Amino acid sequence: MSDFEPKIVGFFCNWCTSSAADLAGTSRLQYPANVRPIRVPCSGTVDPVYLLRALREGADGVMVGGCHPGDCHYITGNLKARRRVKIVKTILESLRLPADRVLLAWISGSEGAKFQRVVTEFTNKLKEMGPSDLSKKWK
Amino acid sequence: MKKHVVIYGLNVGGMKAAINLGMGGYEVLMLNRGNYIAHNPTQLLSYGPTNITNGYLMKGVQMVPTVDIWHGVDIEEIKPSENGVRIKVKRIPPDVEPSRCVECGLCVKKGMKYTPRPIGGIYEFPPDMSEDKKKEIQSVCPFGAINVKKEPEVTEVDADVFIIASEFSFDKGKLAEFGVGKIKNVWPVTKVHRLFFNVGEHKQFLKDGDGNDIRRLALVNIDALNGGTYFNYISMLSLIRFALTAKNVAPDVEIDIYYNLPNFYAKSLLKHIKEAKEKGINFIKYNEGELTISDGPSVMGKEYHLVGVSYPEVAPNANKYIADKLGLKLENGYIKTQPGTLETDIKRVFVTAEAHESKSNSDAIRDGDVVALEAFAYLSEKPKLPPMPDLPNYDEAEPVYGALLCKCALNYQLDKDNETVEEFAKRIFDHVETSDFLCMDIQKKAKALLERGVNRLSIGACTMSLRGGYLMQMVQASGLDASYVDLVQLKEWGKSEEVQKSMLKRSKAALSHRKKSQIPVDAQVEKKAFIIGDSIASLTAALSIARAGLPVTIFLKNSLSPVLPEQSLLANKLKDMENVKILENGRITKIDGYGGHYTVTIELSNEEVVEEKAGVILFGPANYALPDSDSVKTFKHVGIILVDLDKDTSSVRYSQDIALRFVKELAGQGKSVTVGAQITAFRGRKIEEWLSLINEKKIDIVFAPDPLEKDSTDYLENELKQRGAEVVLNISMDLKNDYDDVSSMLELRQNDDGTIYYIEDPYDDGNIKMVSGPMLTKGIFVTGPFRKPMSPDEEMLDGQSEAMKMLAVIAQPAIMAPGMRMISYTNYRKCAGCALCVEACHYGARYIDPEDNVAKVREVLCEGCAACVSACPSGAAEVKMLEAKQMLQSISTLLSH
Repeated sequence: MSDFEPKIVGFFCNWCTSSAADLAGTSRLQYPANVRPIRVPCSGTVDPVYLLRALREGADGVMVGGCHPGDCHYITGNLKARRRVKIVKTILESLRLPADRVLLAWISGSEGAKFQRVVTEFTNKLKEMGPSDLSKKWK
Repeated sequence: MKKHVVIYGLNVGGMKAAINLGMGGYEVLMLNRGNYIAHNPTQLLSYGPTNITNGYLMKGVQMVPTVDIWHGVDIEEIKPSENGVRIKVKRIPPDVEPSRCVECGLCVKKGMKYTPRPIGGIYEFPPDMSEDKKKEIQSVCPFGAINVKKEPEVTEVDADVFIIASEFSFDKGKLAEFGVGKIKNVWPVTKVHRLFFNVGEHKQFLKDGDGNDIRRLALVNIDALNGGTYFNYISMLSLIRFALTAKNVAPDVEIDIYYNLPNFYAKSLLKHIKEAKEKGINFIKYNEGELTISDGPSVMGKEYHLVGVSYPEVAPNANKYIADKLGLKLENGYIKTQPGTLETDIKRVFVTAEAHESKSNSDAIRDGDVVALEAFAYLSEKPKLPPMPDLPNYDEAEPVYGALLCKCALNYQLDKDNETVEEFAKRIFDHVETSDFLCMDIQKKAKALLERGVNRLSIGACTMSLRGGYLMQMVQASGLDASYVDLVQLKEWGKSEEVQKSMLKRSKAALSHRKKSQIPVDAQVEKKAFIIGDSIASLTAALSIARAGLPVTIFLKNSLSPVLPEQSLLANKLKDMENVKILENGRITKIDGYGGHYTVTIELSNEEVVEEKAGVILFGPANYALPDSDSVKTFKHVGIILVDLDKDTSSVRYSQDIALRFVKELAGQGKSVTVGAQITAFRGRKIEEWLSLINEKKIDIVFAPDPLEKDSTDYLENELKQRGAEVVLNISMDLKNDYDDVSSMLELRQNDDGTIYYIEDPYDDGNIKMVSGPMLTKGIFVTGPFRKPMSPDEEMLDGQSEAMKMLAVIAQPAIMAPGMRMISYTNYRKCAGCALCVEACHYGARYIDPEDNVAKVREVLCEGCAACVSACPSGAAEVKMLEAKQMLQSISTLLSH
């Protein structure tokens, strides 16, 4: 499966992870182009439905990037995101679907390098797991 | 000294050009005659976001590292040649070098004089300061920004391109002629405006200088340049706006507006005049030489409590100054260019904005785009990105942790030292270096650490989003791969010492499992342009993009049949190019995707279905129609009405140009021609050609009456027939949009007259978006007559500037999904106009529109932080983001390729 390039949908908080992605870009840190970014005002605005929909539409992984706990621009948005991602994972697990395909990461605006690392690791992990058959099972 | 581009003057067009060229990697030098950056309005003198526009661009200029600005400059000599331009520059160093100053304020504590300006400020020595004291202050500055000795230095600069960017100026002498500063209570109009505040509930109406009430107010529009300049229109518009605000605040004040030759062609102006008349504001017309303002104060014999006089615009002095040195020709004080370009008669010398013509802010900024595109042809070396250095791999090595800490970030108060965080860092890291201002000596400090064997480095400083890239590059230049560097933003989020400590700790942990990265970056944007329509502007844009080497597809509903000669010239050039594809006779059935990734489905007339991919889409159709000379064959005397004010008010430039061609043709056939027009229809560059036709008695001319007094079209038609015209033709642009199915697919809104709704506020349009960073754009552009009717020359400039913007998008490596940019907006039904959001906004994006007294948003400046949402007591301020449906849709589109 060496040629397999996973599709990842990333929901990135405007205040931290998006800036980190920019920073990684400006500091010329190289990270895989598998992530298709969506900028959201806060990780707390990511509805579980979005994550499930992305998986259903053929994403091999979904990623939510938020601020470190306590740093949220809207005070508790990231804690809500944490709860919601947990719910999605529970749902997937109870259906015996791989919950590893959902990732939540805390990446602050200054952590361009961390952004690069997280994305690279997640991509490599998905490469090992192979293409997701979730979209087929769903239909 | 070698520079790619030298720009003389700091007008907004020049600044935009500097940003464009500087971002492209070219070395740019800006020369300023003044000794500080004037944030005074250079385009408009009324209220409005002018200061912000300039400041915003200035900030952009300062952020581009390849752009240098020299102040206090005099040009001794300019020598243009085939291979470049040589400029001899005499420079008197300012007291404080603005490029080095970080405004820390240490010198002010010692006695430096500081004058705040809207953005930034001026630092200078007080006039009577002794040399010793100056030296003492100089030693305080940590950046060496203060100059004590002021001897002029002469430098020779070699440039590939020279751009003239003279700043707006107005005639102070003329103001004094009308009594400003001489007669009591005769003020410049902006000062009058400050008496009336209309910010939410804080309406106030102040008294004049002596504390008397103002009951009668006169506003006078004086006309400095006959023939009508852009500024005349704006000054009339702002006078009416002032008057309306004043009426709103104090309804019982009697207001008269005096005018001479305002440009009555603009629709927004007529709308305002109508509104003003309804509110009881009087308009009084005066003829040339009639206007007298005397003691009292009184205007033409009528007494007032206060008189406001508008600013008369004049061509900038700098134009003459520079034109004399180069031997360029001036027209009305503006520099003459070759038609359709901004290049002067001398190769490699360009003009922007006020150096070229009296222009609006957005037109001036557009000039910056055009000049950049035209200058590319002359720029000798194409910029190269520095090669990636081959740096050692420390993946297997035993980690040695190092930290670089900036004291400036650790603690705002420079005189209070912050031992505890530093001590903490020294405890957990192997080697620590601190610096008062890390940005200044990062390379030295990093080298010192690397010599001690450090192979994992944390950098703690302030705003990383601005400086991070720079700091990392510097470390990389010192010999440590950026993968082993972690940035810690200490200042903004790390408010308490405890947080700062934990951030450093986390950073060290993060560094422990770093690996050198080797994965290549992939480009994601579709590097193709799709152009709809065959207006001169869109063909010019197609040519510019094709010349840049990117593929272009042009779509036409019918077959390509040029009407104007410019069109056929462009079409012939495009047909020869390999990377241009022209799709004729078809129908667009579907446009899918988002900025950077559009798929357009076209059904051709032979039922073939084509799918075209594109990163950007340009909407620029036109339906030009030349007046039919056959239809007037049998007549000997032809009457031509140049602009029909009542039907279409904005196509004057187009009709003027087309009419000129037609009139010349008719006059050549020996027919008598009488032209009826608004006097201000003859504006801009073509006025000389008209005058020569009139002077040679080839045509006769009738001017329309003041539209405030009489209906001009009927009057002109009667008048022309009385003078013997057998047939009367009306030349105005047909704004019927044949492509309205496409424009609705692109979600472009249409105005009543058929043009595309594109400008929300006359002062502020989408043009001031910067060509930098991840541009969050829809990637849809509008050009040509449907943006606003314009003459063929203007269309060429417009097409080029749109091409510049499109190139900026498609030449980019990655673009974010659409609509991700969050922008605040106002629910006008709920807004009470209290202006609390204006106060809450950190970015200057919100303002109260004096016209309808609700809060509006300058979308370009809005960062979507929602500070206004929490400030708004009535729930009117909201932040737009994607709705669930749109979000799901964009997930599908993201995954579909």
